[in-house]
This record gives sequence, structure tokens and C-alpha cells, in this order.
Amino acid sequence: MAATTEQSIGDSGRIPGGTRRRARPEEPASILDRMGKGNLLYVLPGLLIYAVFVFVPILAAVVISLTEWNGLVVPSFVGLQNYIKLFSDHEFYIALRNNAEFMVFYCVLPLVIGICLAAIISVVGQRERLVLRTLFFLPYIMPTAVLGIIFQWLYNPAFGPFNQILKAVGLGKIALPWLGDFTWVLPAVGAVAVWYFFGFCMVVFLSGMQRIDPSLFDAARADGAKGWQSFWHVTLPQLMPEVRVVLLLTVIASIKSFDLIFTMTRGGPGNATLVPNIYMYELGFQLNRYGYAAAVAIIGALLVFVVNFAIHQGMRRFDRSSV
Amino acid sequence: MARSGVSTAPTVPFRIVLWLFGLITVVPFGLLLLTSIKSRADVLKGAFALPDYPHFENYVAAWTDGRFGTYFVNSVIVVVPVVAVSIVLGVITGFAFAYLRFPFKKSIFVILTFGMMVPTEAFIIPLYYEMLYLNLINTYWVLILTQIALSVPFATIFMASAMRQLPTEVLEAAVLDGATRPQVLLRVIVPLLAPAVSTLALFLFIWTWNEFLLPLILVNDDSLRTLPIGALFFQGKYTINTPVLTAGAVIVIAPIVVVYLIFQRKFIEGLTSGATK
Amino acid sequence: MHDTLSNRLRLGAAGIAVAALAAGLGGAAQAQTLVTWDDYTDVGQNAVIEQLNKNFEAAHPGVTINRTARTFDDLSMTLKLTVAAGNGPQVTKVNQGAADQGTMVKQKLLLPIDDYVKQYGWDKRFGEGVLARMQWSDSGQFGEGHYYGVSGLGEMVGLFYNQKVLSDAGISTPPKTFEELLADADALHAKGVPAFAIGTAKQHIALHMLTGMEQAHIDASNRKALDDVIYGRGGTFKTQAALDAATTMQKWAKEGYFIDGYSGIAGNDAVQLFVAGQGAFLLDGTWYFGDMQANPDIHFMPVPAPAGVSKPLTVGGVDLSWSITSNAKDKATQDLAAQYMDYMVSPEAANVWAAAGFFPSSTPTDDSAVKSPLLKEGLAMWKTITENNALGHYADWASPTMLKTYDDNMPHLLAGDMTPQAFVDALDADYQAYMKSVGK
Repeated sequence: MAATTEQSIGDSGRIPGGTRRRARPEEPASILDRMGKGNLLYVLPGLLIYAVFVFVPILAAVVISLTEWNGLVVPSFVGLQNYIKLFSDHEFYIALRNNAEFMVFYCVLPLVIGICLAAIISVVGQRERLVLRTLFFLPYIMPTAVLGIIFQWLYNPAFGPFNQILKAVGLGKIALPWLGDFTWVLPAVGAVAVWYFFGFCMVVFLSGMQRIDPSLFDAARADGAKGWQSFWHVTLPQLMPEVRVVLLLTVIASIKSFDLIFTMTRGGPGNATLVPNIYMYELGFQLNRYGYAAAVAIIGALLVFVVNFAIHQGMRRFDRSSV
Repeated sequence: MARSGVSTAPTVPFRIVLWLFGLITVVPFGLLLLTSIKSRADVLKGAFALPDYPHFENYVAAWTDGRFGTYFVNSVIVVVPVVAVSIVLGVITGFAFAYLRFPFKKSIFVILTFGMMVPTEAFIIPLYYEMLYLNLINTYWVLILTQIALSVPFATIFMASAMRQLPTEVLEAAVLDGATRPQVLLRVIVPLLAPAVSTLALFLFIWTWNEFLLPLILVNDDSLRTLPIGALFFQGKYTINTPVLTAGAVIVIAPIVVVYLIFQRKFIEGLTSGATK
Repeated sequence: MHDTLSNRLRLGAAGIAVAALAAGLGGAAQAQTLVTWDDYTDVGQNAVIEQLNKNFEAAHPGVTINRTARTFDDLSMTLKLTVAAGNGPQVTKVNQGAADQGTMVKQKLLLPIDDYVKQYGWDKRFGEGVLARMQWSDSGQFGEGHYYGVSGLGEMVGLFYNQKVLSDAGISTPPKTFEELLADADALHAKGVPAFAIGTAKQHIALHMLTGMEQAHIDASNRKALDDVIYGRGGTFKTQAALDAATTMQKWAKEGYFIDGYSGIAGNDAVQLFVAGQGAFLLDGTWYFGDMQANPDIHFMPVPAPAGVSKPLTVGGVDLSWSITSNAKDKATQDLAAQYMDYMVSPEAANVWAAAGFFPSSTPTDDSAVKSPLLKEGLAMWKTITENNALGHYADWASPTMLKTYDDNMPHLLAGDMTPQAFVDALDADYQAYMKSVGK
């Protein structure tokens, strides 16, 4: 998908992760820009529909986060109280910690697996590669709410296939009640996220690899680099834009995660898989505390920015040290 | 791709790993299909146990009780305009971000990215009240317009970045030939970006087809609901009919799988060309 | 109602159109659409409600039911929002208790139905203890004052037992007292048979099991303390019965009295496993009759009471209530809504529900409709309970957050990393915080 999102962002807006301006010469205007006026006409239609149906409600949510509101009567303004309360809300910290752990499964593991698979897929022929690529991407097209239902059943300790296989191969001892185990429930749900994202990551990396200048490999080979060495020294550094895109998208997905966790565990057992988005749902739709729920949502959105900023910074440092 | 630098590596173990992962991706789908033709008692006999005979009546139950016929039509009515209009808007707005200067360009870009970051759950209540005020609740319009709006940020960024990678010489040549901007956009840029457009189309199709929260909240009338709501319909407060539920899930995902399989070649080409500098 | 000229004109025009239509159809009935929402999404229930709606339309020519079914979660998520916005159903199912029905009553989104209760004699058809669950006073007091709903289905939490599993373990009769239940569980456990089928990953078997045992320790003559707690008049969750029930549950969980892997099994799946012959007992509600009747060895009885309690409470109530929303603006619509509700809770509807294996709140007139032996056992129990005024309560109604508090703490209690005392304390802390927030 946006194999290129971040590149364009890096050039024009450098969002998310930093609206800071870098002192550098203004980009040269395109030849198309010089041609005439009415530039805004190209922006307005899309912007207008976006503003009406998305941005205004987002602004309203910010306002609501400053109020106490049960969703029915007129909200009462409470200033920053909701945010202050959040800082001493034990459950919110649990949700944040769980979300950080989920990031390993949403972001890190799919990235690593995706990059490894992309690296080794060249061992098979063109046709086989096409089939594999098609398969790997398949999970990504599924509605996550439906996936939750499927996997909840796959994990069932009594008649689910997962434990059935474990028992069949003599590993009955580790056939745990996955979704009811305080320790293992988060990795169990996380594994579904890995399954969902790894093929997507691989396809993005694969397309990135096709972009790499073959002469770089020739040069590396001339220097005596073996397969994995040239992967490490040539492929990986060249793939940094794709890594950044994949991280950007998976980080957003992890912080926005809801359907999968909701359908599999509802945040349980005992808050072991509670994440801010589930917490927001409970607060809003179950307890009618919409102001407080909106504050949770806003903090979550800010987190996306902070994490992406961190990634952006980290990657830049990496770029500099490796190039 | 053959040059990714590992051509000297051993083939067989890698091939096994690859196919193992391939297997992992399809097994859940296979089990889903299998469960959808079981009886409720069969489900307890273990995941791999075959039913005595295929219980296709699960599909009948899902289709009729779940009103899948209506929901299917509704899904199509919503998805087609959402994808089409979002692409048009994405191309036009993306063109502006790629080539044109206009006031507050960076700020507007930041504002657009909000739409990708903030979860819909966070603003669904204000959105509901706004739609009510605009008298759009319980219409196809509300589903179409909101989902176009949600697609604009991604479509814009995606198209803009693809356009930035087009060689400037081509555009310059067109301009020197006397083409106007709309002509350049329509006759030069769009044909060059056909793979990227089809990739975008597929993504928007998947996301819109699978959207759950918006139709759930913004539409109250049963006759306007879309498929994913039907898919989860068979969950009562205390009861659940796994085979019928999975049959419903199959009905929902079948169209996306078909569309994906038809377009996946083009689609992966699109990913590739989009990333090529 | 504004009766302006334009309105009158519009009504007049509509009236002419209706009259023309009616004349064309050769009937004298008035065309009207009734918008209804319900939560009957289970395949079996869905079929019944469609049938009942058809019957109602047939009996009321010109009336069209515009039904939307929502799953339980969807309903609680969307109902308040929609009705508050002047949209959605005129007649709806709504969850009793403070979170949904209470909030809607407070915002005047539901209409009091006192007149209809009298007109249709619903107070006589259902026990006083049943209708109280849908009563709210002007001051917002739960359990008294105006009526806001009636329900078509009854619910009781009881003891399902599998006679075959019991017999195989040498237990010839089901337990008559709570002490016997404990002894039977020990005996089954000693033989290596899981005593209880239970799944805690989803649904609320653990909650029903715990409160079922707890309330079986309360005699109907002493029910006031419990009523006061549930109806928000104050009280405590720190009772000996609650502590004992929590202690017993924890012991059973720790020592392996439950089916293997129970913490990773959803309640619905545990029921399927029980039907397939796993576990000797399962404590849960009549809503599982439809599933349970697949196994003729399974029977249903009240949770046995300890010695000295002659009329034990049975946790239960009625399913989500039918209520009239503020969208039913004029008297004619309200009357039609009440007619619809009356049909939904009528003995005639009860026959249809019973024939499909569900547990109606009114007694079916047609005994031959009751085919399932389980249902017969249940209906007999319902009769006794109504006579004894011994219908207990869902403990999670006590505060808006109580269900979550149960859900969050129960896994810790069963896993053994929370003492029964700490568990009961956590429940009480939730309740007292709620009491304080409403100024009691």
C-alpha cells in the first residue's frame, strides 16, 4: 500500500511524527504549478467532504473530551479534568502497557517475518512465487471481526484444532486454555495479528527489493560478499523506506486495534488484553461516560503521533549511520 | 528480484519454510469452510472431523434468516460509489499535493493525516449527531459520504506519492505540446498510474466492504444494512450457532476473496510500481 | 402536539389517502407502521418472532411491522443514542437495570405504561416481583413507581444435571440439598469425573453459578436485604452467603472440579460440551433450554438450598423488556404499541415460544405445545417461584459497572490469585461507590 506514503510525507509534510520544519530550500515548483491559477480547485472537493464528515466530528470529539457527557443530555464543561483523571486511572495504565506489548505482535514480528520471507522467496520460481505471494497476502483482506470469531474457535481448549494438534504430537502439556490464561492470552491474540500482517509486510518489502539497483549487488559480490552479507549490507539498508512505511501502518493499526481483541476476549480475562480502544468502548458505549471516553481516544491519537515521531527520528539516525 | 542477493543460499529448507507459512495462511480458511457445513454436534467432535454429510442448510439459514440477499445488494450499492469517488478525489487531490503550491499546504496535509490516525470509535457519536442534523441518518448517502470522506486521506497520500515518482520529463514534454493541466492529468498521469489506481481500488474495496462500525451506528433500518453486520448477526445474548455463524462469514468474505484473486496480479504490480523511484 | 392548520391539512390529506387505500383494499382498517427493535437474533428465536409478527399483522389489517433485529451488544450500544435523537423504534426491547432502562427513563425516552398495565391486566398475569424489575419512580428509584415494560420470556438460573453421568458415577438421584450437591461434587471428583461444565472466556456462567448458589441460601421471607441492594436502596455485598459461594467456587476451580480448560472456553461452548456429555452439572439459565433439550439425560431443577431454607431464592427474571419509546408520539401509536406488546406477552405467543422450546413468561394455554420435558420442569418451577415470591435477582443490576467488576475479578478468584474476601470486597467497593455517586 503505501509503499510510498512516507517518502512523499518526507518530502512535503513530514507527518506523522513531526511537523517540525527542517531548514532547507523550498522544493522547486513543478512545471505544472506554473501553468495557471486555481490550484485550490484541485484540493477543495476532497478537502471539503473530508472536513464535513471526518474532521469536524474529530474536533467535536476533542471538545467532548473536555466535558462530562452521558451521550443524551447537554454536556457540561469540566476543562481538563478528564485528562487529569486519566493520569491516575490504574486501568488506563494497564491498557497502555498491554498496547505496548501488542506492538511487538502488530509491528515487530510481522516486520521481521516479512523481511525474512521476502529475502528467501527468490529461491522459488516465478509461478510458485506468485502463488505464495497471493497466499501470504490473503489474511489481510479479511474483516478482522470475522477473524476474531474464527480464531476464538481455533484456540478452544476442548475442541479447537490448535490444542488438538498439540495433543496429537505429544505436547498435551502445553495445550493451555489460551484465551483464559493470564500469561498467554496476549501472545495468543497477538499471534493472530502476526498472522494478519506478515504477508502484507512481505509484499511491501518485495516491491521495495525490486526497486534496488542491481549494480549494488554486483558491487557487493565483487567485494566477495556472500548471500546473507549482501542482504545485510545492501538489501536491508535500501529497504529502510519500506520499513518505515510498514512501521507507520502497523503502529497505527496496533493503537487502533479493536475488532480482533473485542471479538476474541473483550479485553479479558481480568483486563489481561485491555487496550485503550476497548477501554474507550466500555467507558463510552457501556457506561455512557462519553467525555472520559473521548479523552482516552484523544490520548490514543496523540500516542500515534508520538510513536511515529520516535520511529521517524530513529530511522533518520539509522539512515545517517548506515549511509 | 532474482538479484536480491541470496541466490547462493540453500533452496530446500527455505522452500519448506515458505510453504509452511503459506499453509498457515490458508488452514484457517479451510477450517472455516469445513465448519460452515457441519452440524452443531459435529463441531464438538474436533476441528478436523468430517461431518456425515455436508450441512448446506447452514447456508440457507444464514442467507434467509440473516437476510443476506438484501445485505449483499446494500454492500454493493455502497462500495461501488465509495471506491469510484474516492479514487477520483484521490487522483485530483493527490495531483495538487504532488505538483501544485497552495496556501497552508503543510497544515492541510497534517489535518488529512488525522483522519488516518484517529479511530472511528472516537468520533462516531459526534458524527451521528451531525448526520442527524443533516438529515442523512438511515440513507445510503450517509454510508457512502462518510466512507468516501474516510478514504480521502489515504487515497490522496497514496496517489500523491505515486505521482511524485513519475519522471518529470514526461510531464514537461506534455506541457510543451500544449496540454492543459486536466489534459496532462487525464491523458498522461492517469494512464501511467493505472497499476497504482488498481491497487488503491482494491484497498478501498476491502476496507469499505469490511466496515462494521459506521453501518452499525448510522443506519437503523434493517433494509439498509450491509453484509458484515449480517455476519455477526447470529450471536444471541446467550446462544451462538457456530456453523451458521461461519456460513455467514463465508458469504461475507467470498466476494472479497474473488475480487482479490482476480485483481491480485495487477494489484501487486501497483505496489511495485508505486515503490519504484 | 401542535395542531396547526398545516398539520391538520397534512393529516387530512393523509387521511384521504389512507381512506382511498383502504377503500381500494375493501377494508376499513387504518394503515400504520409500527417500528420495532428486538434482540431475537438467535436462529430459533428469530423464527418465532417473525412468526409472531406475521400473526399480529394478520390480526391487525393495515398494520405493518417494521422490524430491526440487533444483537444484544448492538442494542445496548445504539438504542439510547438513536431514541435520544428522535429516531429508531417505537416499541423496543431494552435491558432492565440502571445502565439502559434506568437511563432512558430518566431522559424520558421511555413512556410509562401504567394505564396499559391495568387495561391488559399485566399486573395479574405476572407476579409483582416480576414487574418490579421494570418499575421506576419519578425520583429515579428502581423497583417502584411507574411501569415501563413487560417481557415475553421468563428466565431462571438453576441446576442442569446429566442423570446419565450421575448414574455412571453411582449417584442415583440429583442432590436435594446444597450439602448433597457439595457431597456429589466431591464424589464425582474422587472418581475423576469433572463435576461441573463451565466456561469463563465469554458469557457469564461463572457469575450465574456464583450468584445462583449465593441466593439459594436466602429464604424468600428474608429477601428484603437483597431487594434493597438491587433496587439501589443501599446495603452490602459483603454477606456470608456471598463469601461462602466465592470460597466454594475457588476451591472447585483450584482442585479441578471444572472441565479441563474451562478458562479458555466460552460459556456457549461449555453448554455444547455439557450437552455432549461432559460434566455432571451446569449452573445456568433457562435460555439454554433450546440447546439442552438435544440430550434427554439433561434435567433442570432449582439450585438446591441448604438445610433450614425452605423457600430459596432462584436467580432470574425476564428477558429484556418490551417498552414504548418517546418515538410513539400520538395516542393511536401508543395504543397500537401496547396492543403489540400485549400480543408479545400473551398466552397465545407463549404457546409459540414454548413449542419452539423457549421459556415463556406467561403460562402457555396449550399444554400440548410444551413438548420438551425440560420446559415442563422449568414451567413447574416458575409456578412455585411465583407463588413463593422467590424470584431472585441478577446481581449485576446493582450498579452500572457491576457486570464489569464481576467480569474483571472472577478470573482472578478462580485462578486463585485473589482471596474470596478480596473478591467480595471488590464487589462491595463498586456498589458503595455507586451508592455514593447517586447520593445515598
